[in-house]
Amino acid sequence: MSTGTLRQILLITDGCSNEGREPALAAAVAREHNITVNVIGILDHGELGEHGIEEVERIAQAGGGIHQVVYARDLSKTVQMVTRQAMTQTIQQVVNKELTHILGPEQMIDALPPEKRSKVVEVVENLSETMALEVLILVDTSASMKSKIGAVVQALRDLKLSLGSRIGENRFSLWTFPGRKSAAHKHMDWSTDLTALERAFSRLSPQGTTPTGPALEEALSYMVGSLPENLFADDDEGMFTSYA
Amino acid sequence: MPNPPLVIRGKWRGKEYRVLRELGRGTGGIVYEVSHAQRNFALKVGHDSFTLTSEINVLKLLQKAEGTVLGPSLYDVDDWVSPSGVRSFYVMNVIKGVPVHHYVRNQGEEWLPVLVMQLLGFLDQLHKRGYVFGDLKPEHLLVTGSPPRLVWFDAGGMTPIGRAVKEYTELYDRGYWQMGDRRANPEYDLFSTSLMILHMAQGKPVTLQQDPLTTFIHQMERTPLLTPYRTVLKNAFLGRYPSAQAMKKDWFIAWQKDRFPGKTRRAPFSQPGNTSPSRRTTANKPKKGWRLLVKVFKIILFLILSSFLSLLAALYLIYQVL
Ligand SMILES: Nc1ncnc2c1ncn2[C@@H]1O[C@H](COP(=O)(O)OP(=O)(O)OP(=O)(O)O)[C@@H](O)[C@H]1O
Repeated sequence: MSTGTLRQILLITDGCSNEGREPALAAAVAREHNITVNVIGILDHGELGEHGIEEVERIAQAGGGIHQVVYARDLSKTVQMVTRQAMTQTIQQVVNKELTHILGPEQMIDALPPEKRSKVVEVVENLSETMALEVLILVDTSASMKSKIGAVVQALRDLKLSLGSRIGENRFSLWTFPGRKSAAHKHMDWSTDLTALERAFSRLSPQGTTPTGPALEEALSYMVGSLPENLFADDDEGMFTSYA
Repeated sequence: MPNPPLVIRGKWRGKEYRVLRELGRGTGGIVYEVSHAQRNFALKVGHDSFTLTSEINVLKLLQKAEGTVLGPSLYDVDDWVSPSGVRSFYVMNVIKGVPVHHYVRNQGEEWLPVLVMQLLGFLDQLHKRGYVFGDLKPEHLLVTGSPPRLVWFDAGGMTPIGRAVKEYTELYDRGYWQMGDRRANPEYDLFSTSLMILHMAQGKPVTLQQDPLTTFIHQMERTPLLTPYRTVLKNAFLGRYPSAQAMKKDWFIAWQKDRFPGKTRRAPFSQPGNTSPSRRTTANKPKKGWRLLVKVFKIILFLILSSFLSLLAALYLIYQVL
């Protein structure tokens, strides 16, 4: 197994989508490309509401990722935790697939005897520490987000710090939505650092609607567009073998 | 809260544990006190098999650790077919004690420096085995027995050196304090240690206000208990100790100096031919006054000399003009 790249979209929002197609659609498509979609909902001021919370969960489920609904003050802790958990989860899923492939159905990590499991856990931890990671960060900057942008910037800075402490390489791309002319606006191409972060957010004035679905679709096209070609040839194994 | 289960039976090794009561719960799982073969144990049922297994892996590695600070000993690892699905668990000894910050607050201010030395000794061993503690906080350190001894639990944050710290608490986290990254190294644990000591001495955790170093120093200066240790704490906070051993050494020197206030900083405790502390103190005071006198004398001399010179210059000028 050569070490490949783990790919994630991290969606941060405080409301329900109100424009375009339902966001879970794009999330499901992302998953088909081995891109995990994680969603964090911000609770402050109650913009999220019951529907918003349900939607957060639905998008993450469709995207094979993790969701958390938190207050802005817990955002830093949550963002880095969700990202890291999603990484190990993805690797676990691949390992599980391999195990069932080799040992037959029902042979998941959890079903192994403790001594064997202990070895597998070690392997998974090694991979999640050393594999390259690409995260496309997609931040809701509709009008209601105005008071929460500070916490978002802080959380993303913290994410950079946490991931930067890993052995593996990290690349980020930063997007916000709604964009001026399109559903989402790209602030930063794939890059190993996030210095554009402060600049991007300092010039931003949160306004407009919440086209979560279309924004996800745009971010996804960009991400898929930058995937290496042969990823499509062998879908199942793509995550690990694409950079062989 | 659902009632605790009555019996937990291992799926692989078949041992049965009778549940007596709940000892505590955390993000990773629930810990019960159980009895098995006439002995009591602590049994932790994990919320998630992967995370618990990772914790077990570290515990196994530390089983042979020697030294004064002990952690949980592992007795059994197994799965339990619970009504709500298969759950992993491990069995360890029951650790009794008072959380270290409560202990120091209520009865052990004098013991604080000694407990810190125990902790640093333990950290040094752990680091030499290639691990950092990671989620170091007073809640994870208990004081047990008499004379008091430190014990730790929760291996959940223990991380191989060089990797990203697995678990942390913001209050004690170098990254959150903007004093560095989250890569596991001895300095990371020593940073947490410095804030933890402050917490223990003050009775409450320190919260970050604006500039990290200013916050730290300000809080430290408000705590008389820590006066002898200011330099050591600051060095730990700034990541200047490459090992727990180095910090332990300085901490000991500070402790010793505090016991015998007159002794000079560098003098090792056991060096023969040292003058007694009392003689030093009496000898120190006139020395200070003498130094002041010399200073004043120097200033006066300087004033006289400079006025004499300017007088000469003035005379010369007058002479030239005439
Ligand atoms: N060996 C033990 N003996 C007695 N009590 C214990 C023992 N181990 C754990 N406990 C109790 O159970 C609680 C939870 O244990 P532990 O800290 O291991 O769980 P955790 O999920 O890792 O917690 P955290 O949220 O701090 O990471 C502890 O706070 C402690 O009170």
